[in-house]
Amino acid sequence: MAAAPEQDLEQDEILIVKVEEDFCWEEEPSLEVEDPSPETFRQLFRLFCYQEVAGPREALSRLWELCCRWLRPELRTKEQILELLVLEQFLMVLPGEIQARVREQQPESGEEAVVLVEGLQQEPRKQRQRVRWGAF
Amino acid sequence: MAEEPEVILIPPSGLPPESLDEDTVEDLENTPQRNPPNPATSRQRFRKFCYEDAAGPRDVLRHLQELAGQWLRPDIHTKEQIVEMLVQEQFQAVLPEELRAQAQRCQPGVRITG
Repeated sequence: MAAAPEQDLEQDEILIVKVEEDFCWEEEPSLEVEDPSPETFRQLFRLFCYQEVAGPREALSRLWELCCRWLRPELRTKEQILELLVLEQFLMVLPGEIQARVREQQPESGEEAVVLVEGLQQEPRKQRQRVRWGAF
Repeated sequence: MAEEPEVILIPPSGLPPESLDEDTVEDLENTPQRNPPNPATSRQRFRKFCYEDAAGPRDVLRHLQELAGQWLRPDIHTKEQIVEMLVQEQFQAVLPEELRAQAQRCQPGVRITG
C-alpha cells in the first residue's frame, strides 16, 4: 500500500499515488480457492436445497455436479465409491456419542472407522461410561 | 384469483435420505427371498439398517457393504449409473412433498446429458 507522501504539493501539482496491486479484497468463499475435503463436498451434496435453483432440471444438474465433486468418479473405482457410501452410512448409524468421537477422527474408510469404534470399546470402563452404548 | 397449492418445504438435514416408502423393516424382512430384491427394496434395507441389528462394528460394516452392493450392483452398473442412482435418491429427498409424489408416479430418471 502506497504511503501517503509527506512533501508539500504545489497548488497545481497533481499527486499520483501508485496503488500496489498485491492487496487483497476479502475473498468470498469459493470451492475453487482451496481443496475442500470429501466430507465438505459430501455435506454440500446432502445439504443442497431445492429452493436454491430455478426448477427440477437445474436441481438434478446441480446435484449431479455436487455428487461428482464428492465421489470423484473420474478418479475412483466403483468399489471405492461404494466404500465412501458405506462409510457415510456406517457413521450415521453409530450411537450418538460414539458417532461424534469417531467423526472427529475423520476416518477415510469403513475399516478405519471400525478400528476407531473398536478402540473406543476397549477404553477403560470409567471412560466408556461417558459413552452411551445401547447395544453392548 | 386461483389458490396455489400449499407447498411444504422441508429443509435438508445433511443426512443420507431415509426410505421414502412406507414399508417397515419388518415387512422387508418378511418378504420372500426367492427373487433378488428390487433396487427400491435394496435401497431401503441399506438406509434402514440399524447398528443394533449386528453383532458389533465390524459386522455392521460387513452388512452395510453387502446391502450397498445389493442396491447399487457394481457388478452390472457403470460408475455413471451408480452416481445417477445416488443423485436420483437425493433428488427425490429434496423435492417438495407434492412434487415428490408426482415424480414417483412418472417414469424414473430425468437424464441430464453433457
